[in-house]
Amino acid sequence: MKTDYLVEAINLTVRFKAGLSSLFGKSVSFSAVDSCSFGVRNGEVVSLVGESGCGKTTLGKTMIGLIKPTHGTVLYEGRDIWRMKGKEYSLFRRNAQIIHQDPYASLHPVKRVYDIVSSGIRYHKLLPSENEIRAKIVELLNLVGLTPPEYFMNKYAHQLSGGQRQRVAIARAISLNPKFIVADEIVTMIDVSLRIGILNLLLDLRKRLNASFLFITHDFGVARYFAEEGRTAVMYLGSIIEVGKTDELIHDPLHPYTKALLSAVPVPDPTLSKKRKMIELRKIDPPNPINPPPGCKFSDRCPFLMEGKCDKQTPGLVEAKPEHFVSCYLFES
Amino acid sequence: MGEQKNFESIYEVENLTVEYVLRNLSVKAVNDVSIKIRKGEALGIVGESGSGKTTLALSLLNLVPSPGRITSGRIIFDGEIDVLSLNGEDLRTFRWKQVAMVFQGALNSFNPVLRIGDQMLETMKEHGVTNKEEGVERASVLLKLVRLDPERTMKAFPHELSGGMKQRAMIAMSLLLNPRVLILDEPTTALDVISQKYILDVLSDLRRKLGITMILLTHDLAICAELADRIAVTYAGKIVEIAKTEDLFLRPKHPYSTGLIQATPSVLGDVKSLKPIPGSPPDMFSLPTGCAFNPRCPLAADLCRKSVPRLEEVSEDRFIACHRWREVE
Repeated sequence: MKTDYLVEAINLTVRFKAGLSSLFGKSVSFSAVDSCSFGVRNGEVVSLVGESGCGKTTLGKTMIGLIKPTHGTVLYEGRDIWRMKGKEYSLFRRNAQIIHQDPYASLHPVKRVYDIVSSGIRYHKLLPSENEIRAKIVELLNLVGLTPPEYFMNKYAHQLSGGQRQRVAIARAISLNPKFIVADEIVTMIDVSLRIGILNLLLDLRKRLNASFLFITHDFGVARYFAEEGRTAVMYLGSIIEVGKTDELIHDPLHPYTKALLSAVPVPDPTLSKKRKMIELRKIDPPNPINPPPGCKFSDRCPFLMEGKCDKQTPGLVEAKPEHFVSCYLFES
Repeated sequence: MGEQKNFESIYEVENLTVEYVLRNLSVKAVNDVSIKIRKGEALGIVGESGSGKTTLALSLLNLVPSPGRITSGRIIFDGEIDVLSLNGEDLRTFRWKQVAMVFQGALNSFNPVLRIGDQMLETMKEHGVTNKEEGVERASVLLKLVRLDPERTMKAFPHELSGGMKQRAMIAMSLLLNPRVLILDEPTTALDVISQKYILDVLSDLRRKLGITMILLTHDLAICAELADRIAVTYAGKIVEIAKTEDLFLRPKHPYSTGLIQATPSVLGDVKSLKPIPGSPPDMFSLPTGCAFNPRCPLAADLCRKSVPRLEEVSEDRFIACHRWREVE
């Protein structure tokens, strides 16, 4: 199959069980990701923005094969990752890496940095001798700014600060020269003064590695900073509701939810922020994801609701402007 | 500085030091802090985790938990109440009637098996409002003020409300006894962006309608930009700068404030290239000598490594603790 995407999700749905409806009731399930079609091109950076619980982490994990989708397909270089076997699958695993949100949980507590960063290289038997592995670790630690590397390689995770741990996680992720990296809320747990350092490091590495990034975040400001030259996708209750070039999406959002979200983001500029008004929604609080409204999932809060239409059938993702997709009946041709 | 506007202070904090003693180690979470908080203002206290802002706020209520100890300083409320010498019934009344605090993660501090209305009534009863009708009336007024449906909310159990609704109910509850000061510790941290903005709107509404003094603790400068009249920036247990909100954002003077502003991304304006603050946050167990920010400061000089700068009023409404603030561009 031909595709211009490096990684592509086609009609992806991931359902999770969510406990019982009552003490003796049936188990309830809901779609964390609901019929998402979406791709990341070679060398491209895409930010995936959404509120907590919208399914962005699940989508990211499914796109690198850590979660098996209930329906739909994930293609890597045009091949279905769940049909890959043996060497091909192993190569995919090498090429697709993830950096997790919580650097306090994602690093092995009783292994040294040296072992943590070298584990992938060893597993895939990329380097034949210990000397070469060591040289590679030195190079990687230098690259992520953990200098002098000799000092950091013998440390345990608990001896490092949050920012340093996240750098170790980044070194591990890039140790196999991946082509596709999912970065999941990687600065959320990092001190404000250090966040930009981690983001700048990743942007710099991206140029060196020429890797594609799926950058997951709840923070529109951070999403914009990271994918300034790339695209941004907005997710709401399991669905991608808008995708476009980052700059265009931020300056000219189309979907009412994107508009509301952008109008609510606090801006670090008092001359602007005190004047800004949030777009009024019909309901402030999001619905329970287990029981979303029928039709467009934003219909119960949307100020532009067209009764009998939006609350009946889900709008598809249509190209409202070149390269700018939105799923909303206001933009149906 | 001859012509000074005289602001009436609701709080005068003088040389406050709070220490946490762990075995033989001691940490000064609040280190020789002085600040006057003005009647009716919204003061933002900004700092990263561990900078001492929560401990400072707890001291304002004389509520520092063990093993923390207030080792020196004075806190005067409204020109007459010596907060740190209050105890027993006086302290209990002070805490709800004069000053109320909404704690971090407060949306989970409701009793899960009691209806919101009952919890509100119980609080009032404990503090002397025994007439039930009067209590219900008061609760309804406040719930309306935070834009909740009073009848529905009072009948609801906490789990029936969303995070944003619980936080607003908690704010209504903290206002039950008509306090003069409301302290909010990271009031929107656990909430989604839309609920957060809604709460910030509710809070500015409350200020307009009640004229209450607000103290807002947060790590997020952007939230202060939305709500605060003045901002105090904390670093390693000290206040390093106090300024009017506009002045702080447009003309920050302390190198740390400057660094924080340059490290905060925004969705508006041009994508400026952002710069991190070099180095790591301070290790509170072994602070550097002199100014605690000196290892990360681009302007650090010998003097900064030797002596601790004092917080001084350098112009009207502007306090800075830095030897080299004149050098900041």
